[in-house]
Order: sequence, then C-alpha cells, then structure tokens
Amino acid sequence: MLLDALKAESFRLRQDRAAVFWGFIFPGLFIFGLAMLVTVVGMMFKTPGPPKAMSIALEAAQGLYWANAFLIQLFVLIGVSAMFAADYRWETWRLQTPRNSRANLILAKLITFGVAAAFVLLMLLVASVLGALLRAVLIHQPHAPFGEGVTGLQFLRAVAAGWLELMVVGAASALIAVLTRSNMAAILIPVLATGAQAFGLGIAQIHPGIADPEVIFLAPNLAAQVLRGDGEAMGAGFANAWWALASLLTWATALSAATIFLFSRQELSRE
Amino acid sequence: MSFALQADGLSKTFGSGPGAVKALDDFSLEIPRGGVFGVLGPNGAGKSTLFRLALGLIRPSGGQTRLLEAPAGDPGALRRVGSMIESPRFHPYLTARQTLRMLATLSGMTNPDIDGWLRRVGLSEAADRRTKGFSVGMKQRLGLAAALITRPEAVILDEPTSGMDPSGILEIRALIRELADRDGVTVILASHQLDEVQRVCDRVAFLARGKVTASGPVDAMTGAQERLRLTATPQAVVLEVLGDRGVAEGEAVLAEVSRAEAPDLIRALASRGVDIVEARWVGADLERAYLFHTGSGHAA
Repeated sequence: MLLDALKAESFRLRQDRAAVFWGFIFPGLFIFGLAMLVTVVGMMFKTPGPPKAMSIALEAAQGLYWANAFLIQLFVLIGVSAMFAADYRWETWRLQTPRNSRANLILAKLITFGVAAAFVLLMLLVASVLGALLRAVLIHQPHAPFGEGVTGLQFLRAVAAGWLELMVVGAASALIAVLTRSNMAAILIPVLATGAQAFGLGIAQIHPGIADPEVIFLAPNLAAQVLRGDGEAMGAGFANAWWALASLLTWATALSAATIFLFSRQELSRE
Repeated sequence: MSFALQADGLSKTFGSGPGAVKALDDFSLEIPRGGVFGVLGPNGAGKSTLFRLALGLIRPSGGQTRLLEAPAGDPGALRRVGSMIESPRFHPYLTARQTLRMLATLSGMTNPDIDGWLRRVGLSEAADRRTKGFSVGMKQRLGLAAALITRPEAVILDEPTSGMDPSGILEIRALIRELADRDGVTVILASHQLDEVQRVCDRVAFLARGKVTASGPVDAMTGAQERLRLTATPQAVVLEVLGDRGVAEGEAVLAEVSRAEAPDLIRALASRGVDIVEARWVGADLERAYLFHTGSGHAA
C-alpha cells in the first residue's frame, strides 16, 4: 500500500517538470552560476602571489553548506509547495484519497521529498565541485591532495546537517500546506520562520549562551550549523553535535507526524 | 440481500452557530447491489454530501454510512469502489494516459487496461494530451475512466454527463447500462437530467432538504402517477364528469382514475353522448414524480 503510494507520487512528481526544475534542480544551477561569477570577479581583481591550492573534498563539503542558505531553501520550498499544496489547488485529493489510505498518501509525499532533498544536496555538491574545478583551470590553481581540509566525519556531519535541515523546512512547509491549503503560505511561512531564526541567531551570536544545548534543541537552524561544525567556532563543542542531531531529527519527525495526523483527519468537502 | 451503500440515521452539518448548514438530517437509505441506482434531488439536497461521506472524504456529524458493507472510509472497501464526485479535476501537467497510470498505481494495480478504458470513454485520440487543455466533456470522460480503471464492484458517479454534447451523453448512457448489465457493476448515479435517469436507472431515491422523500423502482415511482389520457368530444362534458380528477391537456383530458375505475368512466362518458376517439394509459414521466417528491414544484 505505501509502496503503491510511493510509486504513484514519484511518477507524478517526475512529470511536474516546473516544480522539479525550480525546486530541486535550479538550486544546483544557481550555485554553479554563482561559483562562475566569483571566479570571473576573482580574475578581474587578482591578488598578488600564487593562488591557494584547491581541495575537492573541501569544495564538496562547502557545497553541502549551501543547504543552509535562505535563497536555496526558498527554491526548495517552491518544490515542496508543489508537492503538498497543489493537490488542494487542483482539487485532486478527492481523486486520490479513495484509492489509498491518507496516511500512506502523505507519508509517500514526505519520503519522496526526502529523496528530492538528497538530490538537491547532490546537485549542490556537484555544482560546487564543478565550479571549483573550472576555477582551478581558469586561474591555474594547484590541486591539494584529495581529502585535505576536511575529515570524513566533518563531511558526514555536513551531509546529515544539510539533509535534515531541508527535511525540517520541507516538513514545516507540508504541515502549513495541510493547515492552510495554500501554495503561497506553504512557501512564505517557512521562509519567514527561517529568516526569523537567522535574524535571532545573528543577534544571539554576541551572547555567550548561544551554543547551550537547550537553545540548539529549540532552534533547528542553529542545530544545523552546530552539526555542520560551524558551532565549534561559536563555542559549541563536539558533544553539542549530538544535541544538534537530536534536535533536527525531533523537529523533522514531529512536523511530519503532525502533517500525517492532521491530513488523516481533515475534511475534504472542498479541497 | 447485500448492499452497495447503506446510510443509517446519517446527519452532516457544515459550520457551526447560526450560519451552520444541515446538509443531511437523520438520513437513511439502502442501495442494493446490482443495477443502476439514481439519486435525485435539487441542488443542496445532500447528494454530493452523501457520496463524500460514503467515500470517507468527510466525517458525519451523526449516524453511519457503509460502503460494500464496510464502514465508510475503509481502505479495503474503497479499493473496490470507483468514484467521480462533482466536476472531475486532474493534475494539469499529466496526460490522460499518465493520469490513469498514476491513479491505477495508487490503487495497487500492476497491469491496468489504460488503452481499453480510454477507448471505452472515447478518449483514445487525446490519450497523450495534457489534461490542462481538456474541455469539460473530455474531463468528464476521463473522470469516468479514472473511476473504472480499477474494475470496481460499485461506482459512484455524480453528474457523469454534465457538460457533454448529446452524442457524448448517449455514449455514456450506453456505457453505464453496459457496466451494470454486462460487467455486473453497481452504478450509483446522481444526475439532474431526469430523462437520462429514467432511461438508465432501475431504481431511484428522491432527496429533499437532507432527507429521503421516496425510494423504489423507477416504474413504481412513475407508475404511481399513472393517468388515463382521453381524446374525446365534447371535452367540456368529459371535464364535467371527472370533476377535480380531470385536467385538460390540449385537446385531450388527463384523468386521475385507477385501472379498475376506467371501464365505469368510459360507460359514463358514452351515456352522456361523448365520442371517445382515443383512450390510453400514460405513466407520468420522472419529472413529475421528481417535482412531487422533492417539493420543487406541483405535480401537474
């Protein structure tokens, strides 16, 4: 049953080319374009001395860090709203809900989004690495030995932080889509929430208690930064990475569960 | 007797407070399996609400609904029922073929006869066109195919011929009859086209203000209004003999008499020197029964 819903949802999403392009492919293209722009600007204002060696592993990890960017999340939310809110807009729930259980239908969307989020991360990684390779060719940048600048654990933390942060944002958008039945709300409200967190984080960075476990647990945006390792620069130790992981997992699970619960009980008198 | 749909003391209120709308009120109905069952009533009578409750799209305020003898919303029963509720809507970026494939996959079908159903509803040529450009009639046809793609035991169709051209209506009418007669599918049909219902349905129920006002075989519903149509001269004498049981209809007179009373009436008219040109029984059409049972007008 869930497998049927998963197959149907992934088939449907693959045909929704506008949502796939803007939501899940464009973030990678945007980062690649940005890398090219930075390279061109760097060539125009070249600093004296030999260029720094380029580490592919570090570039790959830095590509994953882009999952935290406001603009990248905004594009991903366009894809999420097309997955969760469009069925209200098109009034297509009544076509689907009698064919499978509601829990399966919404869970299939959440799982499909999980795959899409992993695809976005891969696109960001590939875009960052390709951009770095092209830059290296254009400015004759030497290559550092593979793996220099980032450990395997740091890379894993970057993957987990990027994916879980996108899942939290996606699940929040899904919940808002079910609550409001509105495409626009499913994009704007998570964007505002992320913006508010980022703003709060910016102000709080001057506060010594910023990396306290309870703050990390309550703010998924901060948790993602701590899990990635940015938090260590703000005084959060490695031990806090577990708090950050627990925070992101809890937020993603709780928001997903709330979405499933609400959709299962929702009246579909008019989508 | 087994039932396709049962409603027992069902009620549904939308909203709360003074603006609340009672769509169904202590509503009870049993629709047997087999044949075509018409659900008739004016707008707001509760037809679509009944269907949405049966399909688990909304929850009742009271009472219960059973679909194929399982509680409303039961996934196992729902998989054996096809449905088309109100104007069918589709994902605009999917083609007709992709829509059916997606819906069949969702229902767990591995090898659906997509081309066969597209042919049966007359959409073969538009199979690979996106539904975004479909006319209302084409969407109705695709909605029918979507309801039938899983080869259901029962199918709920809400206004299936709405927006179709006359030839399309005839095709769909024939398809509905074929589903019931050849494929053994129970068809539950809501329609405002009473002529269509009379031609295609075996049984009907009339709904008004959220309640069932009458239910039974189509023949019985129309036969209850049977009248004797007399073409006779002088018409004034016929009307005088019948009193308030007769009404003029052009040159003829419609007489509200039973078959047992008819011979005495003919004799009485003959004794008064009335020349009877023609006398025949006319069943009132479903329209008159509809107006009578739904209180939408006066049965003439």
